[in-house]
Amino acid sequence: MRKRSTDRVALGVAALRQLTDHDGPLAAVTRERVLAGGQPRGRQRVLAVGIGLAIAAVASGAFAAAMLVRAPREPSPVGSMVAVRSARSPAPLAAIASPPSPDVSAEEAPTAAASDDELARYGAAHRAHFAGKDPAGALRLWSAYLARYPRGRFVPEATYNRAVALVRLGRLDQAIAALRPIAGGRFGDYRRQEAALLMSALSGRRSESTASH
Amino acid sequence: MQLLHGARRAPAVLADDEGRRASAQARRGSPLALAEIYDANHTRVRQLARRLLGDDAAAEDLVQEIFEQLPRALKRFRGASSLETFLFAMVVNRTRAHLRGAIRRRRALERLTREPTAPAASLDDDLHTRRRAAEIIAALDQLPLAQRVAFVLCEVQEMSAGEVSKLTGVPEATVRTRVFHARRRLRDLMQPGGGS
Repeated sequence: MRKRSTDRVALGVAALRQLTDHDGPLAAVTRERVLAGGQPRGRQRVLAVGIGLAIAAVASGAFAAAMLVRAPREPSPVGSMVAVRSARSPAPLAAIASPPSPDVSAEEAPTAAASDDELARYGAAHRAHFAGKDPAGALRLWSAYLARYPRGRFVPEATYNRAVALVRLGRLDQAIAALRPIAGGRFGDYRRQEAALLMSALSGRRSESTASH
Repeated sequence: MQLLHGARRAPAVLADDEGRRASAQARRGSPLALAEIYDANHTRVRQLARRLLGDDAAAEDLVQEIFEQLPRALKRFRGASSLETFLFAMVVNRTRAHLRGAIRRRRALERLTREPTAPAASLDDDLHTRRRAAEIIAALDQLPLAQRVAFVLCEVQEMSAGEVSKLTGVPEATVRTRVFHARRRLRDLMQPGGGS
């Protein structure tokens, strides 16, 4: 019995290690918040519980139906979750999109300037997406950011938000195509679950729409 | 099952001199330096926070808090240890404040969903792995904080007693004793019918 329970401890340790070896889905959100100068942390919990409940709902097969019921006026439940999150947020990244602080040394100036441009472009797209409620403008700015910085620091966020903008514009096929690499794990766990859920819901809507025509 | 989907950004650990340079700039308020430190360290800091707290949301709160407060905290950083060690010490020192809420939420979630594991696990996570992790987290919840910290750092994080001693400021022998008692208590708790 002692041996067996010792094994349970070892198995538990191994499992805990395994489950915490990757960043988890909230990591990118935290990065944005830290670099934006901090925002209320309690919403991480809301987001986590939301994701947990979404997973539970998917398991019971109810989630897709719920999404479709809501779909006519709000095409993207995940997008709306993002919108709710950001509607209460000050313009993220505004702090780092501002001119470099005077302590930046001369030898880093070229890097700093390049980063500033990237941050400014990202910040502009972010504002159009979340604050401006202008999906067409946001789509243009996200696409421009990704074209200019295909290996930039915010490619995962830009790729996901661009997909959400496509959803909002009703360009479902393009949205599904944009979500596919995220759901496939190109960016690790970042938005992977949401992308998969969204793709599934969009595929359902597209089939429904095709059938009704 | 392999859960290493890969971090979003590969953790590029800063060399000590780079760490000191970035720390000096972050202390003076450079957002670029803070971003550099974040990118180089967040994966390991988050990993430790998740292992200590057993709760993804609480761990994210802790990670955010640490990096937000880092520019001010760096005023105490003399470079005697690595920047990563300094960040780990911040995690350990703030664990107590976050743990109570994490335990409360875990119990509430367990009642609500009957699924006490981390809510943000991947859809394809192996159920047994999640159950085992949940089991040890529930048992860890019943340990005194000092034993929990020593056990997680030594056994889960695989740090040596000497490293843990430097990190926590507790004598090495005490670290070993705490791990010994923690392991014994966990064995009891995790026996069938042991209360975990």
